[in-house]
Amino acid sequence: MLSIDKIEIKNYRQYRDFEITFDNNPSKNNLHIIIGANDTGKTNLLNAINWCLYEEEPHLGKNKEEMPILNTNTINEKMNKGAELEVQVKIYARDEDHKLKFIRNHKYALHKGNKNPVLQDRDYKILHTYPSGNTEIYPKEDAEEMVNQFIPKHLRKFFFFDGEEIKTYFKSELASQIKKHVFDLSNIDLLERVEERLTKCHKDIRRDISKLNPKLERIEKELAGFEKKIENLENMRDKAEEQMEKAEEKYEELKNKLRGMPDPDDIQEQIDSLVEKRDKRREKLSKYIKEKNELLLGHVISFSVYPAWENVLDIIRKKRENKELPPPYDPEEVQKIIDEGYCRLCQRELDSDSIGDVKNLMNTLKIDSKLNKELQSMELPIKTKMNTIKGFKKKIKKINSSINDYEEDIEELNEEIFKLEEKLKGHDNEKIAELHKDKEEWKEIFKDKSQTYHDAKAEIKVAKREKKKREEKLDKEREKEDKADYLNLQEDFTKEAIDYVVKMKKSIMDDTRYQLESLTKKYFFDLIWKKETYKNVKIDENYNVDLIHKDGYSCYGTAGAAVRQFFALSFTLALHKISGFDAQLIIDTPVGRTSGRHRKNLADTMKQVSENKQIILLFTPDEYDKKISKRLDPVASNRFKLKMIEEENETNLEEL
Amino acid sequence: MQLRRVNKKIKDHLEEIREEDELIGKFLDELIKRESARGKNWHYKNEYLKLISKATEEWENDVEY
Repeated sequence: MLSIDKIEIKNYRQYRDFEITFDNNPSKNNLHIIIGANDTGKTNLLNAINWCLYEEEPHLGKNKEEMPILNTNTINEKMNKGAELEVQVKIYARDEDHKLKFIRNHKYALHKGNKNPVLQDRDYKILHTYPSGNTEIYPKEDAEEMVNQFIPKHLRKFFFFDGEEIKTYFKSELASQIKKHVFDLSNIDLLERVEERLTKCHKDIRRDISKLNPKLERIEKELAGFEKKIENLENMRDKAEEQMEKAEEKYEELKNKLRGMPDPDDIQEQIDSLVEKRDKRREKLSKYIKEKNELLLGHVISFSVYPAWENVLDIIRKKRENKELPPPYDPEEVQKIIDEGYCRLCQRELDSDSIGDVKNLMNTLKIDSKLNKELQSMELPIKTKMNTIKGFKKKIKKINSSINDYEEDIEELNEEIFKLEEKLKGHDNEKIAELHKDKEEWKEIFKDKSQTYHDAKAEIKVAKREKKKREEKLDKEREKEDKADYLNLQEDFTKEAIDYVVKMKKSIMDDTRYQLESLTKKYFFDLIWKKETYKNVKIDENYNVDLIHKDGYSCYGTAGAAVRQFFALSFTLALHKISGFDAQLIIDTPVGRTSGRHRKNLADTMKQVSENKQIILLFTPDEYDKKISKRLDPVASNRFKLKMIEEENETNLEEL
Repeated sequence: MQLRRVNKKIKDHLEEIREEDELIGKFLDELIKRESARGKNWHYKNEYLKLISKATEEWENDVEY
């Protein structure tokens, strides 16, 4: 049984120089408790293990994806020096008398003044020490392949159990993966091969028989045609399925590789779009600046004479107020009065003194009235011009505000562009772009193959129906045929042998499934408190898992979080037993979604299970309450506390 | 560990088949042994047909007897 002895972590996220040893105290259970408050690195310990084994970090929070995998303190310390830095996770494990060391390294280069480390080299190896003491080293691809012999990547969720992610358990894709692995492990593939090869031989014999009867031969040919068609379609379907799986795997692999790295194409697209936006703003800004200049130029004369205009209006206003502006008069009428010596207004004769006075007055009025006319003729245009200047103020204010807005926009856009350009620095952008392209291509391949897979499935159904019709015809013809006894005997024998293989295969498949079902049920009913609510646990032929309510309906989807967590845990424990991959079990936040009796039951189950397998539990201090600690403390081999050194943002370990 | 247990399961099944039909049990035992030893890629057809032919002769004699 696989168990972990030690984990060493260097420069991985908040683990700068970290080591944890899971010594198994012989007088206690193989149970190890790790207690850590939120954000002290519990989940990242699970990520570090996954990263070491599969180069993936499945439990990473979305906001952490963008952060470099390399410890930020190390980056900050070395940033101004420029250096080569290494992230390394080592897992020391054992499988009975075999010792295993899983070592994954990523080397990064840090350029002066740049916070973005650039990945230079990645390495992975497994050291396998046999009971004899000989050590074999499995480098790179061999190691990636070999890790699946110990903990298959597809089944990792059942070895590193995240209590917070129970919703993702038992998806249909996972069901098919579980089925495939269980079949491989149970040697069902061997029986499938025998069945397939015997069937081919059986077909050959049948063909030989049919040659003896032309009618039989014709039906046989049709039958063979459908069989060939089915075979081709099945191959097509299986190949498409394989390619779908491969495409999905590649897509996930690339997605994981690209985690924390920018998408240069995407960023370039963003930059281009921002530059376009900025250029449009700049165009608008130039338009407003031009408009402003034209406006200012158009008003420059008005501005220079504005004080004079104000003065003139002031004079007119004052003169009007002081009644100094002479009334308008008719000079011809006054001249007539002077000439006739008779005033028509007062209707009397004028003496020579009065005529002299009128003459003087007329001379005076002649001058003042001209000035008055001139002043009055100036008043309206001046007022109009001055009003235009008032409109100017409003206009220029509006233009200035627009200019300010555009300038601010442009500045913000420049900042965004700068940030994006900075993101691109320090990465091998061509390579990353290529990886992104590959990722998208694999996504397309998956879609394409998925279509082929479903089309082939539908065609197989139709062809099988036709094949069955031919088989029935063939049987009727055969009954008439009394020749080729020996070949018929061979055919019967082969057919019978095939039937036995099919039965044997089905029996082992059902047995394995049944065991998985009963063990899941056993663990589940041990764990839950309200046992009477549920009646059964079901695992169908496709390894879809379900929980049956006491009233007979399936209820996994509607069950509460605690029930689903226990259900997933029960299935996990059963799968460990049945699959043969009876390895350690690491559970993050095991009782986060449970309370009361459920907690006690879970603690009791863990206590019981850890008698025979390694269990590592990661609790928050709240989770690890008295009810739990009372049960687990006496049997735990180790108890650790994860502590975050606040000012250093680094996780340390304390043994309790 | 699991592999050994399942192999035992196959053996148990073969034993049961032998009890029902000795010849078919023996025949399948031989096929499974060969498959297990030779892996996935080998020229199985001739060997299979020979084994079928041999087993059928014995079967025929057995039935006649």
